[in-house]
Amino acid sequence: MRSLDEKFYEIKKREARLRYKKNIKTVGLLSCLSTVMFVFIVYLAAKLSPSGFKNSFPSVFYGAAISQHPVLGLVSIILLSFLLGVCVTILCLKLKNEKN
Amino acid sequence: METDEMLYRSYLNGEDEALRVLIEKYSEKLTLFIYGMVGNMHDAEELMMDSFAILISKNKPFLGRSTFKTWLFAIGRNQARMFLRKRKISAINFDKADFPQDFTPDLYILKNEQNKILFRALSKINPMYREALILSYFEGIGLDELSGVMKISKRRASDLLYRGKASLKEVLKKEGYNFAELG
Repeated sequence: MRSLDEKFYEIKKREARLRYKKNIKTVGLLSCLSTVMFVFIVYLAAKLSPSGFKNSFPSVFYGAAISQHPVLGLVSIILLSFLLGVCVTILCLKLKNEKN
Repeated sequence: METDEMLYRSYLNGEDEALRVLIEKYSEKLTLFIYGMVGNMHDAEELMMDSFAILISKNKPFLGRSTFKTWLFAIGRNQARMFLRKRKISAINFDKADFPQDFTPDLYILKNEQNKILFRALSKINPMYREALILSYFEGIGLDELSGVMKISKRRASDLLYRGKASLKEVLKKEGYNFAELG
């Protein structure tokens, strides 16, 4: 059997691990959500643009993406927005923790 | 005198000492309860610490629907059940396991010879009866709290206790003890 102090520190350690896991889950979930939302907004903007969906959808990505190919452009935008989502979420969590 | 709920709130407000008091008060009781479910003292202690960690990482205030003790024991019970499910153990057979050898009375409750006899007899009855009886006899949990911990109706809890007592009596009788004397 462990002593009271050992139990106390072990429980605190496990609590920290659980909180970390919970934060990681939140970050992943929010990042995915922000990526989906970003893609949806781009899609909506392209669809609502006066020049029509067919012309504007690839060009929206074409103009913003690093790649010359529209599909690769789409992939890079999704990746970049995912990274952006991760950064923003981590920042929000850090601010929340500091506030607490 | 601070209640468990007050101590828990104090801990959430940053007082580590409150957690220490709660651990001191409940760690052995919870370990004994989990031991009755998993049949191994080392695993029981690990699961007890997991239960405490889960409880304090929740960061939720009490809604008053249950007591701290009920909440803690319900988490402990879930942890033990998950542990048994993961290891694909449907029922612990203390007879076949190294129960008598593993039965080191580290816990203060088991230092009492009478309790030791009772606990050994409890290990031979149905797990559901065992859970109910351990909570009732060793932890002093009432019918209301028992139904909360086991997530069953009061009627069912009362039924489990009744049938559990009957099984325990039978086991004790077979071993040559008198249930009323141990009572």
